[in-house]
Amino acid sequence: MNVSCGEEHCITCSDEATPMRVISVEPSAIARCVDQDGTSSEVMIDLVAGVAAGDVILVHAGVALAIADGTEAPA
Amino acid sequence: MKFVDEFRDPELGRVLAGEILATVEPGRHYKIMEVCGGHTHSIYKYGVDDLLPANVELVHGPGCPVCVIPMGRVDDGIALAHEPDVIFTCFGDMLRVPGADGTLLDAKAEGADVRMVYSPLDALRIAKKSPDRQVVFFAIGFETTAPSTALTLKRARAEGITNFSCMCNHVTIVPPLRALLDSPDLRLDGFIGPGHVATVVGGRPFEFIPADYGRPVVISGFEPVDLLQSVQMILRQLADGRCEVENQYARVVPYEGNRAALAVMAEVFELRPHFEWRGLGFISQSALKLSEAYRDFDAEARYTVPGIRVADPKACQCGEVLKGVIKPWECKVFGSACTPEHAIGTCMVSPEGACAAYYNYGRFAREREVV
Repeated sequence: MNVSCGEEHCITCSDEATPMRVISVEPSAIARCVDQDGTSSEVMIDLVAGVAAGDVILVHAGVALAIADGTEAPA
Repeated sequence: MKFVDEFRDPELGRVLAGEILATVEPGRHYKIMEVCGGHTHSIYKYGVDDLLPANVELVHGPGCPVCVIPMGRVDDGIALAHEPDVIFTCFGDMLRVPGADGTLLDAKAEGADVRMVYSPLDALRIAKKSPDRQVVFFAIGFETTAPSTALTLKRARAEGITNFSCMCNHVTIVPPLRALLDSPDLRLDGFIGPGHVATVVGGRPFEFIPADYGRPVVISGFEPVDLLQSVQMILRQLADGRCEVENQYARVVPYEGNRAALAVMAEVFELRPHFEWRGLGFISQSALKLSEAYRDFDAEARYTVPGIRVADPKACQCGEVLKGVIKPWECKVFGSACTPEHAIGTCMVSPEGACAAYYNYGRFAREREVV
C-alpha cells in the first residue's frame, strides 16, 4: 500500500498547500482543478468568493483557501 | 506554473543571498525559527541554508501536526479502527506513526478496515457509498486543515449523512509558539511565519510575538526565493531596530485572513481546555474539539476510546528537535535506529518532519562551510 500522500509532502502538514488551476466550476461549490503535474481533482470552493475557470487557487486537503493574485512578486 | 516558477529563479536567489550577506553583522550569531514543517522541507530540498552565511542559523519549529501528536492519541485512533463496523480513514502519513503498540498500518494488517484519503471530503464520499458501515475520519492539522474538516462536517449534516464521524486532533499554532518563547533554553532572534496557516488566520494572531517578546515575524511563502526574501526581511528588521509582523506572502495571505474559513471553524469547533503535544507537554487551549452543535459527529462521543497517556520512547529526542534545542542529527538514534522506513519518532515519519527532511536530503553534515 502506498502510504505517501503526495510525491514528497504530507497533506496534514500545517503548511502544505498546492497551487491548482481551475478548469471548471461545478454546482455545490465544487471546482474541477489540475495541479502542476496535470492531475485532476475536485476541490471545495466554499471559502473563496468569485472563483472562475483559469484562476490559480491554493488548495489544502481538498479545499481552496485563497486565489493567488501575484501582486507581490519578489523584488 | 505561474506563481511557482518565478519563485525558484536561481539568479534571484543569488541576488538575495548577496543582500543577506551584506545585512548581517559579522560578529553576531542569528537564530531564526521556521515555524512550520513545510518550510523545513523546502529549505533542505532546495538547499536554502547553503546560501546563508554561517552565522545565520535556521531552527526548526513545531509546525508539523503529525510530529506533535502524542502516542496515546495514535493508540486511541487504532482502538477506533478495530471497532467491528468501522471504516477508519486518515491521511497517508498518519498510517506509519507509531503508537505504544504499533501503527494504523499494523492495525490494517491485523484486519482493521483502515483507508488512506486525500481529504475529509473523500472520507465523506466513502460514507455515502457504504451506508451500512460507520466511517470515522481522523482529523489532524493546524488552522490550514481545520476548515476542510469543518466544511465536510457541514456537508454531512446538510446531506443527512449519519454514518460519518470525526476524531478531532486539530491544533492551533499560537499556544505552542508562546510556549516556545517562554522556554528558558531557547533564544531566538526572529520567526519565519507559517504562510498557509496565515492564509486562514491572517497576520494579526502573530502580533504578540513582536509586542510581548520583541521578536520580528515574517509570514513567508514556500519557494526558495520566498524563504530567502523572508530571511532577508527579518535581518533587515533586526538591522533597522524594527520589530513587527511583515507579510512576504501577500500574493496569497490577506492580513485579515480568510473570514469565511474562520467563521466555519467557529461554528463547528470549540477550544479544548488543554491538549498534549509531543515534546511540549500539555498546552492550554491549544487544540480543537467539535462544538456542541456538532457533538453528534464526534467519534469520541460515539465510541469509547482508551484515552491513556503514553510516554515517548526513551531513545527518542523528538521533543528537543521540535523545540529547536537540538538538530535532528544530534539525536542519538537519528539515521541508525530511527529512519523513515523504521521510525521511532514522529519527526522521522512525516516528510515535513525535521528529521525526515534532513535524512531524505542527505543533510548529515555537522558543520556548514562559511559562505
